[in-house]
Amino acid sequence: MSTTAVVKKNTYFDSVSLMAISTKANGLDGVAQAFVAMGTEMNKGVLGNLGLLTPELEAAGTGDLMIVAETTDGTDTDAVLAAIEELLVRKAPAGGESAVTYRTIAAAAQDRPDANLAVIAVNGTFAGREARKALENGLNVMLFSDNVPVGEEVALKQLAHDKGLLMMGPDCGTAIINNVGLCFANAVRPGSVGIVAASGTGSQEVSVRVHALGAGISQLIGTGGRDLSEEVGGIMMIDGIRALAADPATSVIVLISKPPAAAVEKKVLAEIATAGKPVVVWFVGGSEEAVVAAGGHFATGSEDAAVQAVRLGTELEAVAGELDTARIDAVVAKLGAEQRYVRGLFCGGTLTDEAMYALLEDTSDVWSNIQKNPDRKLSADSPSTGHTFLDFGDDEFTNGRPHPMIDPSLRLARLVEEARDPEVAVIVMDFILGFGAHEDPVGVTLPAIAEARQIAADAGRHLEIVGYVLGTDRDAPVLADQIAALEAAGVTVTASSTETGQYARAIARKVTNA
Amino acid sequence: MDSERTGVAVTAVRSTHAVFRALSCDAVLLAHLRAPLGRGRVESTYHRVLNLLLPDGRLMALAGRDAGDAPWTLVVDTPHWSAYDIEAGQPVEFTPGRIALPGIEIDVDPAEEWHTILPALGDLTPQHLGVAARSLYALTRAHGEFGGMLGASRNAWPMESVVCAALDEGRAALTRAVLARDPAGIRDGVLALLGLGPGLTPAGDDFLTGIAVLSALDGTRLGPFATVLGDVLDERSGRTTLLSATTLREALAGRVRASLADVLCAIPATRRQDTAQAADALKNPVRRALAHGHTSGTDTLSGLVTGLHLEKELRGQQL
Repeated sequence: MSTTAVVKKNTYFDSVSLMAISTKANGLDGVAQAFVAMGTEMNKGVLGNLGLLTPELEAAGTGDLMIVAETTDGTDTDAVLAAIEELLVRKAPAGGESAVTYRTIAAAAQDRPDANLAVIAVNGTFAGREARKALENGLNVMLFSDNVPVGEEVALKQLAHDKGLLMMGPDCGTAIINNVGLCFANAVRPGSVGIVAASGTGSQEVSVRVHALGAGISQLIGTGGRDLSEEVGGIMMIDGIRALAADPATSVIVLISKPPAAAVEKKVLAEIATAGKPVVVWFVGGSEEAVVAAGGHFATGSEDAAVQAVRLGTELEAVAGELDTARIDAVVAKLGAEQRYVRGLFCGGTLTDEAMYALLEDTSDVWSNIQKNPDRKLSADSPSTGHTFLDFGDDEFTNGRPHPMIDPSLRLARLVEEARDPEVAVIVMDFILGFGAHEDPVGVTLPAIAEARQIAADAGRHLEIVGYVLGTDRDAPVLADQIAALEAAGVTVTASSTETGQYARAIARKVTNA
Repeated sequence: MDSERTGVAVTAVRSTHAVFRALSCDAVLLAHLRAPLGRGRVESTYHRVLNLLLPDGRLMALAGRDAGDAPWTLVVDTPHWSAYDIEAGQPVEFTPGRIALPGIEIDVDPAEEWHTILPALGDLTPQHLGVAARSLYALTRAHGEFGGMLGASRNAWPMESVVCAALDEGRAALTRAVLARDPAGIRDGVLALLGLGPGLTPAGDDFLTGIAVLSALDGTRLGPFATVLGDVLDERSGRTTLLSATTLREALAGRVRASLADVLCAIPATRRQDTAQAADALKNPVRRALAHGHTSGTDTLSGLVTGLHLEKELRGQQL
């Protein structure tokens, strides 16, 4: 055995990364043991007792860092020294407290040659420029930022297309790439269902339903909400379909969007024929005819999309849930004659849409801040009227404040306000778990739920509050705990976004016809 | 898509205009920084902390926003310093309300004053001190890092085992001497620990810090230990690093980092609880305190455990 030592004068590292260096030094060929410590008298005394104190170590001061390695006979000590030096100059590993921040995307791309994706979340004014740099450095892009001009979006997507890269976004909040959940995504098992989605919470819901049915996700590619507009032309959705068609791990493809522009829908559906795999299409409120004509599988809702995908792409049995009509009758029996309307207070845009479209099947008299019908459109500061569905994640509500999945304050205030309205029969809410979401979305809402129920009770009314928790058994916080907390607070918990809409519609039908 | 490639780079874009806003500051340090000082230098650089030597030779820390408040520490609105190529030895200009380093400037004025707030333990019974010590020990052992005062880690190399054995001997010698009220023995115990152990702040120093802060609380019986430790630091200042010596002196004055103070402040609230209840009440501040450094949090809380046991025994002797 012999001793090899490095003394670094006034050179410091984080203690955590220093320990990592110590561990790595222990793993070097020929190194029997390694010790990293300050050059204090006591530490030098220990080394002396072990016969490891070289003249160089003896000369170390209390402020100097000593790295001591005991090497086996025949080891090339120069090589060990060089390896230790390399460990010292190597940057701390990414992740956790020792994540590295780079000044530029080019520097990040250069330093991390194994990286293939950049997530960009900067002010919209600069987002396009940074996305372009990432693409030019060969990185796929997830662009979380919104407020990127549509012309810039088209140029970025065209550049990505030309380079064979993904350009997810702008305004892309959810993706799962190679089993890594990005931004707002849920912890789902890996599997063979591939998703391309222009809808964040819609894709979260389908991925969660697929997981609940026992299957898993191969890739979830977000496109950004504007991709299927006439201006953008579905560039990313088409590239996404092609990428999943070529991916051997994907057996079935699910497309999710609000209804696309007619010309774009035609282009996107034309890809189905050449995909070589079954394609399930859930365009919220869309028509079956065009999808079937293109050879696709039309889905009526998020749950149907998941069930069909699992049936088509796996050998698992998949069955949709059934609505409990007895439960609905029991609720309606408790409502007063005045209570006729549903109020939906949602965090997720597509969840709002799915519930709202369920009611729109029965009546056009549905109001919302995301209504396509201008005659039934409400602004964020307007009081509710009739059946009202509000998407608190829409720009009007999030201007200058975080998304309601992070900051629920506006929705909580509205919940209490709705409880004062004697015409309200049902309040419907979603609670979204997953990466990036609030750490306890149910817990933070419980006081407002209690207050709302008390207001109604004081007025002699039963207020039916319906909650849907979007999440998996792998998400944090624990899905079962969130559901149990809602049920303990007297909330009716639904099993899916689809069931939530069906439940609201069924009550609306009953109270309207009563 | 290449499913074999799973690397994900999260990139951030930073302005090169590096003027930082101070968030909070130790009140004692803040008074210094608002007066004309002159030129100092960078003493050492860490990922989240820059240690600066003030013109009068004192050490102060420029900490990133998540590092937490501590004596002689200015917390600045930046996650870390690694992007700014600051090196030890570089000059630092201190003007009232402003600190200038090569390439970066700190605006001190927005900083909120931070004061160490510690409880009095004088009215705690020996029984309660024992419960607090046992629950702290259980939490530290369950969630702490081995390799220092908790003993060698599993499959440790001989060098770590030797250091841990020496730390254990030092603790035993110090404990015996404090209980015997033997100043010479206390001095030997302190010298056996000071500057001993792996990492940037030797484990022995962290352990002594835990006892030192207890010795500063109202109602302590650890006065003789505090006297000896203060004398040793005055006489043998080169025995350990400047950072450790500064931390120990501050602890003797009842000034410790916020996460450790939070643990101390949680102790009186566990009065009349059993060990399990006390552990439940202490677990959150303990977990935060353990997160300091690699083994530093563990070693400091180990000192606190020993200090509480000593307080309990010394009070029992007086009853």
